[in-house]
Amino acid sequence: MRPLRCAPAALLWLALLAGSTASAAPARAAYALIIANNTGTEPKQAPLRYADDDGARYYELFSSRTKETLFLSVLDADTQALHPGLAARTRPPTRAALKEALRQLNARMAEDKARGDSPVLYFVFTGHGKRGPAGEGAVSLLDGPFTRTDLYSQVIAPSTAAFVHLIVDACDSYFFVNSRGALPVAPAQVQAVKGLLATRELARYPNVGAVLSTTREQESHEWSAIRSGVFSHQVLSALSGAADVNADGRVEYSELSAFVAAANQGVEDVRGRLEVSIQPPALDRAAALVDLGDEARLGFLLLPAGLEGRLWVEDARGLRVAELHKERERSVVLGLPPSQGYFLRGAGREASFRFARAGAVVDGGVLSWRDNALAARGAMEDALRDRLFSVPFGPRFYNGYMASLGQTPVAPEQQPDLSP
Amino acid sequence: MSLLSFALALSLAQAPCRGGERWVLLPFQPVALSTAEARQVEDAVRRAAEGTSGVCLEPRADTVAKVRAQGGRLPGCVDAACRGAQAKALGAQRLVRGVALGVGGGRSVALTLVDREGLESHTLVELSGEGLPPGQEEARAREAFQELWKTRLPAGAVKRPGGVWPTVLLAAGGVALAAGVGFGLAARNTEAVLSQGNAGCTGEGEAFRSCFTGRLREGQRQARTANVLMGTGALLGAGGAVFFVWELP
Repeated sequence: MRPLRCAPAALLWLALLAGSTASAAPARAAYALIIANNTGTEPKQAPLRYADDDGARYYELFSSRTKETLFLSVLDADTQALHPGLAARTRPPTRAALKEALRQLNARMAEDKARGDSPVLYFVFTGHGKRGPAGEGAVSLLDGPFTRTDLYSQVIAPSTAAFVHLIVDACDSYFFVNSRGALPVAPAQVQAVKGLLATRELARYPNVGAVLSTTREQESHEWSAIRSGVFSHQVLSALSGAADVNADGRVEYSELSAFVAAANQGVEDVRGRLEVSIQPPALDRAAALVDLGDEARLGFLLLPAGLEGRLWVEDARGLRVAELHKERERSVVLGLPPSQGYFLRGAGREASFRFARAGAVVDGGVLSWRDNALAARGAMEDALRDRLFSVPFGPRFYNGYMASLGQTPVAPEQQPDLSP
Repeated sequence: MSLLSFALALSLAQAPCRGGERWVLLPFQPVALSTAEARQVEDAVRRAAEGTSGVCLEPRADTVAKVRAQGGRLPGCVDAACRGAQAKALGAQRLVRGVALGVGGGRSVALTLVDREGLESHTLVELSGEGLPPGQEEARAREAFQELWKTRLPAGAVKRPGGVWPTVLLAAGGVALAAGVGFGLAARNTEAVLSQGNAGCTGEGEAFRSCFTGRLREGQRQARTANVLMGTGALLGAGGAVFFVWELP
């Protein structure tokens, strides 16, 4: 009797496998180009402390999820000590190195496209940015500025990617991607200049989405407690899976936007509050920034329903790699590099865990918690400690946020099958 | 329906669970997986549970009806005691919760088994993915359940705290009764001595009367003490019995 009883189940599994295989085409092939530069091109721009650290964290996040990740940065001594071996894989963040990296990635993506795959490019910049006298934004490379014109002419227009995700954590980053305001030219030249500028607008490239740290001329904030820029820390947390509000494994632009809004909601001091610009690709506004269901060299931490409050994951180096304020009823999965031990920390308590190998899942609901004296000591220097992530993020916040924007939310949270 | 026929129907409904533990398996929560795929994982675990001797699994339709009655999902519990209370509320001796995950190109299932006391056991098994042979999902789901079954704690393995009062009361009652019997025997002995006539007293006149009266009073005191001790013992014993019945699970 047993084989007969199991036969329908086996058929169902096979049907499910066949269905998922059929729906998987075309395959998503992801690539990342990360540029991190602590120094500015102008003397009055003081060197940043953690732009290279942010770049290193983006590298760790994307190198586990992509076919190839290139990293242009000169890591400082502390960062090299924290990320042994990474410096050997970096190239200097110069215009020539950037051009060569783009050529290399475009060639690979063209091959993917020829095979029928769907290549995706992540273009990440962390460092100094500035809006020039003509209103054009630029970011600082080691050997000079890289302007909005350069971005469109060298990165976006020639890209062979099906989708490009721009992530920029820099001052005035909005103007690095968008133009706004009066044109500093004579009226007779306005039409000609407008025509030129139109080729440098995101609207011309519906396959490009942008995640930008500031909407106005505002300095990005670095926080020494987490050795990171605040915006990058929030984006990295979101992309690790913390922003996946409906537990479908995909982090969409609207989820990232709501997650960042929730993370900053409690910051009362306007000087400490981030303003961001997050624009999904017009071609597919539901395009996923990351999909936890994709094959990846990651371990996965399940934070099941019942676990609640402000939680963060620190690795063995003491780096805070993901942070969130979890609503109790939500189930969350965080994708983390599997190579090292971690601590899941909350208010005054911590639990250690480790992934046995890539692909392994750890159930955060069964970890052994112990009191954490370090967290209780509380030597953090600013209000960011208490205020960031002070608002719970989940379906309640997300739905309210989307309603306030008048935008279409993602599908409701995945529910158990309640059919008989 | 008469009371008798209702009781008969109830006993018939409970009949399949005779000799086994009554388990409830909640519909699995999908994470990074479609609801249909999570149902596949749940069904595989359910089949494994149904095939395990000693487990009387509640039919899915009944479980779903109860979950629907609670708004579609049980509230997320912060601690195991809450989850134990949920098991009790669902009329289960043990409750199985599951999260079906589809991350990293593979599938996994996290299972939690909780009894009415809130004692939990857990298992997390990768059903498919890198490094795992394909087509083994059903077998690995069965393994996941067997792992949970093996690591479960026996029902009622931990004695509940608070059972000390019945013991104290019954012991005190026993001591009081024993002492009462002792005094009663002593009083009876004194009575027997007094009934001999001289009560063991010697002499005459005032000295004899004084000795006899003393013996008489001693006997009366022993009888009174015996009665008080017997009464106290009976009261303590009754109190202990009441507490004992009260604390029965």
